Amino acid sequence: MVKFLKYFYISCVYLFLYVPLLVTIVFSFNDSAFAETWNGFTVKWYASLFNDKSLIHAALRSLFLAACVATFSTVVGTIMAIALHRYRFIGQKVVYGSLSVIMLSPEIIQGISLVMIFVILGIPLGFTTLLLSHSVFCFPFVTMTVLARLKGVKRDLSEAAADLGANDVDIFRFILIPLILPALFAGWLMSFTLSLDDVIISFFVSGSRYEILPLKIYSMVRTGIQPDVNALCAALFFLTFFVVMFSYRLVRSKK
Amino acid sequence: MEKPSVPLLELKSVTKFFGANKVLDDIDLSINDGEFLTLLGPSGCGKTTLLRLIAGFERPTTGKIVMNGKEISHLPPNRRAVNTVFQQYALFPHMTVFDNVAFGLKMKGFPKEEIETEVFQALEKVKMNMFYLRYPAELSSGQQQRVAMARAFINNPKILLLDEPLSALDYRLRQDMQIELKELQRDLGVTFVYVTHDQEEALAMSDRVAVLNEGIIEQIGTPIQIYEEPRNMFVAKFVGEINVFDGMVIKVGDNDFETIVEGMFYRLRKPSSFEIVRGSKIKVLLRPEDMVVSKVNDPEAEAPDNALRGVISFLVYKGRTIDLWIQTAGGNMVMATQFFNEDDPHIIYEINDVVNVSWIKDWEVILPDV
Amino acid sequence: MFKSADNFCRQAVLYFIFIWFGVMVFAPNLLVLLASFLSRDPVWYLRLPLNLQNYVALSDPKLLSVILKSLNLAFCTTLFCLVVAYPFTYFIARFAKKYRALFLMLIIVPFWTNSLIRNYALISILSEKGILNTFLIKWGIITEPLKILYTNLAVFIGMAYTLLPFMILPLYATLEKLDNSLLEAAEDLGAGAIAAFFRIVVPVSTPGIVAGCIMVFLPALTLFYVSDILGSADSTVVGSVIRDQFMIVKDWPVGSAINIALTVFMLILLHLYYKSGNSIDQERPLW
Repeated sequence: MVKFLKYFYISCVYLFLYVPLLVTIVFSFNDSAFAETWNGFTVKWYASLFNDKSLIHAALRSLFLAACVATFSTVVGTIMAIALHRYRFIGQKVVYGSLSVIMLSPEIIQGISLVMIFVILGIPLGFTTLLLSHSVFCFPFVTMTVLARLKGVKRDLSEAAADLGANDVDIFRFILIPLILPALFAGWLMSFTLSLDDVIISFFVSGSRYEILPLKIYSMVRTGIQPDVNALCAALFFLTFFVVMFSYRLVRSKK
Repeated sequence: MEKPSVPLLELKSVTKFFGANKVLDDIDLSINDGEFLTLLGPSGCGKTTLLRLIAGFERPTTGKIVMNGKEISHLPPNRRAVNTVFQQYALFPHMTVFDNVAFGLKMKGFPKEEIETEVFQALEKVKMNMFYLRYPAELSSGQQQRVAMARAFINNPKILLLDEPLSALDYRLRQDMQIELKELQRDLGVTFVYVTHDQEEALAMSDRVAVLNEGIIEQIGTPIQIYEEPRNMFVAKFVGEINVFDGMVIKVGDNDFETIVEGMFYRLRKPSSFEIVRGSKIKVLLRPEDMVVSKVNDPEAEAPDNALRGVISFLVYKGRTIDLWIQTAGGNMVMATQFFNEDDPHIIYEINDVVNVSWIKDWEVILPDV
Repeated sequence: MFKSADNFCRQAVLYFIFIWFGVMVFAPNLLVLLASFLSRDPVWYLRLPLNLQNYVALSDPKLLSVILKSLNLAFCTTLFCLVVAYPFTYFIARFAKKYRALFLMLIIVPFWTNSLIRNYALISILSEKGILNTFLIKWGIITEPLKILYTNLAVFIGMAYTLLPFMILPLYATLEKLDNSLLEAAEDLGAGAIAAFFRIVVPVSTPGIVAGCIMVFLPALTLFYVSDILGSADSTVVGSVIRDQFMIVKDWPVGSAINIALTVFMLILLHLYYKSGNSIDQERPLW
């Protein structure tokens, strides 16, 4: 009985988390322009999606941006983690502390401060500013994940490699990178997810020339969102899901 | 015992500081080609640092390390003809046994086919060729140890450094591996420098043992020299169990001297290591297995010459031997190891038995009392 | 191992870190701080003289009432998330290790659809003819449809929905480390299940609780799109005010002042976080 209640409770929480997602997916197949009523199964929204070039473009930009952000912040975050792990330098504690402050600070604080610096420096808002801004709030997650992993790598492994004739580059390539690969992957995925999900920072730093999906949809909210947006979101969800599952498998099998 | 050969590696007045902390103090040490040298000492004595200096993980603060007449003090580890077997083995967890062993040759750019033959040869030597596809996590600690050995000696080092390689193994396996390691060393003909805090291991395997304490070498010599002729109290106490008696020199002869130990007169042979002076204090050291114990049937009778009277206060049965702790009349606790006498299997020692304790003549070690 | 190359590497990496932090983290925030003391300029956004006028503007009663309402909403959201997430996370962290990763992954999966869209989907659930009302009427629980959408309740539901994972993840990070043997030891020493929970589990997870509360509370003050989509004019949050100052009124100094107030508030909470963490673990990662 206690066990049943426990699983019931867990199911309820998951239901709460998944219902809006399910609704989006279900209504993407709904043969009615209004979200409230179910009029039977259709794929016409997927068909009409192909004619909505601006929506498709916005979605592709979002995906492209998220992939760039994930890659860039993985590089930055990993360099940072290795530096924090390996070197002792002035300001190390400040850097370390700032990481958690960045992770905890609400997006609007970062969004406002970044847009101000971009405007003052005269950097035109667009892809570059989006990439930099998203990377600023993503890289601490990579750093923390990689740092945790690095702490688990014993120093004698790199000494053993040096003892067997490996130079610094060899050690990095053959020992360190393979060992922290799962953390790199987790960090990349985290950044990708955060970038796709972000609304507020993008709202401030995207400008008008590089419109990504959440902002496109945000501008549509007041007038009402067409069901082909549901279709797009469902399609994007499945795409992401399969890409992630596939790459997860890949990393697992390599291990 | 020492082979008359040119030293392969020499440490010339090597000192090492970590910050203000002096870890090694003016170490002179030469290592001969093909020998099995053990650095023995308690934890923190500097033995591992000494090993890391030879490997190249640390640089000496002052002094020189010379190999085959060339100074190598400032060469990085990847440019020294020296390889290390690490304490926790440091096997690369993401590589198979094969890739672990192949790593060194791969770094040196050997062709693939050659690497393959060499790796299987090396694995054969440690009886691990069946496991070449396994990952380290899938091996027992004994197997990991063998792989770590193979990974190190495949590079044909002039010297193989072993940092307490057996400490992670259980007692039984450790005994077996001691023999295997020794055989492997003979087979390979490579110089081994072996670090351990386990004196039994050191005595069992080494050609020479260097006893380290607080950054200096207290004594270096063959296991027999170290065990039977300890040069000072530290070596005597660290290597094996030993009984220490205080003595006072009362008369000095040509070859011997007279002394009082525990109120008894003894005539002992003069030691060669230092001058015996009349009236000076000395220490008389005796190994437990050199003690002779005999049961006293009549406690009223006088103890014979050269024997101390005592009472067994504690005993430990060890199968082949029995360890007795005997409280002497003078208040000392003497430890004696007795082998079971096949002629007289009925001797049974019990607590509170009254015994006479003496020792086999001339087997004592005399040290000055400082 | 070659000293000069190694040194070069170190120098390059450290320069990179300092530039990255300087330009992308410290400079922007210092600029906001500076701007909060400057005056408004219609063309250049900012100009001298320095003054405290922008902070005085914070005491405007209309603004204060918005802030109070927003704080109230954020507080309710945080409390709700904590109460719901704690048992949930505790159960999950007790599962066998191989299942835990899956359960955790299931929490992250919804994020792959942008939260804006998921909040939009809440409309079709909460509206008068929406899914929730349809089911409730069908089951005979209510006769008249509930008016939820475009009320503060809808914003609360949206916030709770969006931020629940941010409570679960830090909680999980601490609860996962809780050793079963610790609980067994407590029970062995005579603690009942409830006593063990409050004396062992809760103290060990305190850093997670504080981190989770920060990660829910602060966004709940600032997620303006949730109140835009689900709320009414009455459910404005602090984030909406900041946005309007920047995007509509174009009053950077006042917007910055509100932002700084928010930042100070955050730093106070962070201080609490480190105090809660330091007693247990010096370098505790948040995730």
